[in-house]
Amino acid sequence: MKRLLPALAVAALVAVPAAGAQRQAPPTMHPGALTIALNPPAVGFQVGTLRGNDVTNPSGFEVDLGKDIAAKLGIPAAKISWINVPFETLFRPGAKPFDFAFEEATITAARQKVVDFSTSYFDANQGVLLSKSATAPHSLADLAKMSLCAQSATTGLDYVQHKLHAKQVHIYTTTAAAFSALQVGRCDAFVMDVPIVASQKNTKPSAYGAVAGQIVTNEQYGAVLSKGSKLTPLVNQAIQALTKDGTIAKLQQKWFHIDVKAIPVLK
Amino acid sequence: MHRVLHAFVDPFYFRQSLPDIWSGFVLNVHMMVIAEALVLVLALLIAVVRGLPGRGARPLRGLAIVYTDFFRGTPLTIVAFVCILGLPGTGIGFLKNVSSTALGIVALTIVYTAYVTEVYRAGIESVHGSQRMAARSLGLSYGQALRYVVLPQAIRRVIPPLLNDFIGLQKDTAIIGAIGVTEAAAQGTNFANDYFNYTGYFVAAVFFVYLTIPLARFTDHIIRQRELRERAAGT
Repeated sequence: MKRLLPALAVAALVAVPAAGAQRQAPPTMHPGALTIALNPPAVGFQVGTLRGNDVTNPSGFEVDLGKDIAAKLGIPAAKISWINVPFETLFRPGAKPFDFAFEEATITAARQKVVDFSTSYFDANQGVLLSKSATAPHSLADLAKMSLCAQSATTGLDYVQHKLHAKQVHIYTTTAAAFSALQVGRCDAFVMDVPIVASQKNTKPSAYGAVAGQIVTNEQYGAVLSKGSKLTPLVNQAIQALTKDGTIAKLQQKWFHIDVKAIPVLK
Repeated sequence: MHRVLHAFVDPFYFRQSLPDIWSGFVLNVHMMVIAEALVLVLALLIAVVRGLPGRGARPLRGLAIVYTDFFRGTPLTIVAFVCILGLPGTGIGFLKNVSSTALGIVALTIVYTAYVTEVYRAGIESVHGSQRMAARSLGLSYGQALRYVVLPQAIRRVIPPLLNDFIGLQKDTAIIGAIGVTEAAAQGTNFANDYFNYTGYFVAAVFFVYLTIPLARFTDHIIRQRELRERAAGT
């Protein structure tokens, strides 16, 4: 017994640093599990079926990226819950019901005052998707005279209202409602991120007119986290690693079949 | 406390949002006035149809019942989405050019007509049957008895609940704001999304309340007047 005690003490001394070196569970809401917010549909980025507040069978660029980030954090894909959080509510101050949100959210200084953004994982401009009966605008001045659809709380709406000063703007709370409104001719054009409108046009070509142009806004998408979240640096590291090893570029090729450069720039 | 006040009733944002919210509120009043006028007429028509006597009128009565049952039970949000995005989607030519505001008025009218029909019906049924019989025995036709004896009494009795529904309608115009009509509440949302401040909602609420309170007082006044008159008649 006398000889055992020092042996135990030595063992404890060795064990403590070993345990410390072991990977700690990342600071998620529920340790060992990850809650990712989506707001489908955004063709290419994310589609899925809504069951209450859950998104079942999600798929898309952002879903794959979410799984890859979870893997970097040491969380298996089976431990991810995908929940639906309306885009409109994303930038309201206060604690978030998710670890991070992938909702094609552009990083802006104003939004950064109320939420954390991860490193950017996607670059985009604003796009102009026409209704079937509209004539294509040749300039921003033409566009300002048209009746426009936009989604509330988006950078597209912000542009249309505060930079373009469009005369007629119809605001819808969801992307789905705005696309329906465009389809039934409530407005001439929907101003929304290029990859979103171009992918939607590819999926339902007969429902809309052409993607008439893009407006250079040089936006960058980031994951949205609660302000001051401890997870932000870890998500940043994961995204940086995934950019470096080419995973993100590969995912973009897998999910998007659009040639953004071929879309004319409106000035 | 200070932070709560700042988020919801900041004087700076109050002034900032006032013009936008006002421009939206004009739209609320516009929708409400037109819808209410239509509702008052259509609901009376349906209530009268529901009270038609005889076997021949049975299908008409049935239609009136189906209509009120269905639209009294359907959330306005659903009816509004169907009217504003669904109707133009049917591809019928002229519907494409009808504005979202007008289609919103249609949705409000459809739903509130169902409510108000029931209010009118309650009023008509509250008039004692002997009144109608007395009128008929004096040689008035069914229509004349209804027009000169039953309805004047019935409508006078239901004015307070009618005004109550009027207030409900006025508030529900805000629901149309979710579907591309930028009325006061939608302007408030827009403002909140631009500035991350909720004073815009407060401003919108103030406008609504300013319109509602005089209406409520007016209702009280009418009830009191009627009470006085009926008491006088009793002596």
